Amino acid sequence: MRRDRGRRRKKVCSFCAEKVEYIDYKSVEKLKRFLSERGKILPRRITGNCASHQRQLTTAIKRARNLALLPYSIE
Amino acid sequence: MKNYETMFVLHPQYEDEQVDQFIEKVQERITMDGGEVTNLDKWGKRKLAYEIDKLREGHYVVMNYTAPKETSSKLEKAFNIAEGVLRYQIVLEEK
Repeated sequence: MRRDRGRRRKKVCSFCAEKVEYIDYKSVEKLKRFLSERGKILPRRITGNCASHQRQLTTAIKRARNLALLPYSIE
Repeated sequence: MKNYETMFVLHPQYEDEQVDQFIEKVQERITMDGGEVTNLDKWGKRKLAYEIDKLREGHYVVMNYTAPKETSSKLEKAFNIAEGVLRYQIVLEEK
């Protein structure tokens, strides 16, 4: 993250940039990028996602977790 | 009639034939109610992200179908009773 006289550059939602309309719970590799090393969902503050995509992302991750595609936690 | 997507995980000791048999049974249930299976995708054996009943792998199957709304609850019941189903999930498709 570049610091410019104390001001941070604004992050752009990666889903908006790719014009994603529906976040699929089956695309495991993509979803993995939004998990912390312990398997938690990263907050918007870190990923820079927009609100609507972050909401879609959480439901997608939770669906994937249910099917054991993604872990609930990593030891 | 709505579009649904179901994904289920079957026991890793299942042979390919048994998986196909199970898929056929699910298809039968959908068509019985006047529904239609639009897409079938077998992912094959895949590692689980976490252990389920001490198992580390499972057969993954994705199926898209259109069916009246009662079908999904019937399917869920069947999945619950059926042996060898580790996980199942039915979601409504967007649009």
